[in-house]
Amino acid sequence: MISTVTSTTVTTIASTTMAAGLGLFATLALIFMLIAKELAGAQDVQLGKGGSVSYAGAFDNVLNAAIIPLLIVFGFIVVTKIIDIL
Amino acid sequence: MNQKAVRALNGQEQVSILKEKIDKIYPWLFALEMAVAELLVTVKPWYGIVLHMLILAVLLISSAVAYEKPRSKLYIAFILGPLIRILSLSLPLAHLPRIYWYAAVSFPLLAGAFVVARLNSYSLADMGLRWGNLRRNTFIHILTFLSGIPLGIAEYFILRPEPIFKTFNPVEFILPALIFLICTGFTEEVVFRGIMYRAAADFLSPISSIFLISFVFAALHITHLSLIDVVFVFAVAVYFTLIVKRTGSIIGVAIAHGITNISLYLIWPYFF
Repeated sequence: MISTVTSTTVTTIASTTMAAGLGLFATLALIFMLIAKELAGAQDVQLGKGGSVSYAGAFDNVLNAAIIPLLIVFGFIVVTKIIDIL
Repeated sequence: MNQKAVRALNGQEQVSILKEKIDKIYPWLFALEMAVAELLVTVKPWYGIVLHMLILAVLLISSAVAYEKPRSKLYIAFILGPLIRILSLSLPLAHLPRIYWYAAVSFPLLAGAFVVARLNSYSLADMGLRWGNLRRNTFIHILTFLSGIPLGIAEYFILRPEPIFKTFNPVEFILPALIFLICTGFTEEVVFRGIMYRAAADFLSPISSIFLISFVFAALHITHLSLIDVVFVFAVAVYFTLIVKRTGSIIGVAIAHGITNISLYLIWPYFF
């Protein structure tokens, strides 16, 4: 069953069975971004601190904009699972 | 300087002008991609979310490549577009009452918005979180708040949403009203008019930035499955952006946006 719940921009179109799969997808994206952040950070340290920010350093910084909201989503998923088990 | 050198210089100038023009097309391409991803979400949510993820990845890389330039700031701000949909689709909300869904999605979104603001070095005032010149703007703010009521009625007749509660109860009304005011009105205005519009205005022409951000805002309403609503929302977004441009504050439009949603979901369904 597809349910449509709408506000102005926060719109959710998902069946209850699909939601779990999409949550998994968001978690995988988070893991991938954390790996990318670690690699970019390591590359930036290796290049050393010059006057300007390297691409790796810049990538390391901008990744935070996606990682932090996805971390909150991950926390929400974990809490929901724990409540389900209890 | 000989003629060859002058011609070479002119050629270089032309190339840089062309490059600048092409750079200003990319934000529109990203906005179009977001619209396509939204269309996909309505048909196949899985494909839609994958496309949103791809757009997010390309925006992250593009903003890193152009770091500390105005277009980088716009790309970082644009990240919030795909993030809205990724967050709303991946949160396990089925166990919660419907009214809390808005709060659950807005919390990580606001966190992302403030990270973006920090990356772009925006202060609260830069994001329009101030009253501006009160002597000049008070009347505009009051009119803007009040405009939320007719906007709510108009959108109600377009969407005809189901009431959130079975019966109208003033006590039960307070918490949902606060959720709509903060989690949809305030959050969305911070994201679209506070951050995205600010970043666009620094990079594009005033008219182009107003239309671009209004287009993105309208595109993220495609999932309402109403073309009239998308057009209506685009017009409202242009109106809100013009108010923000005039007053330098998002507070008036945030309250108007909240009132629109409160009346749309909590008042009019019980009266019509």
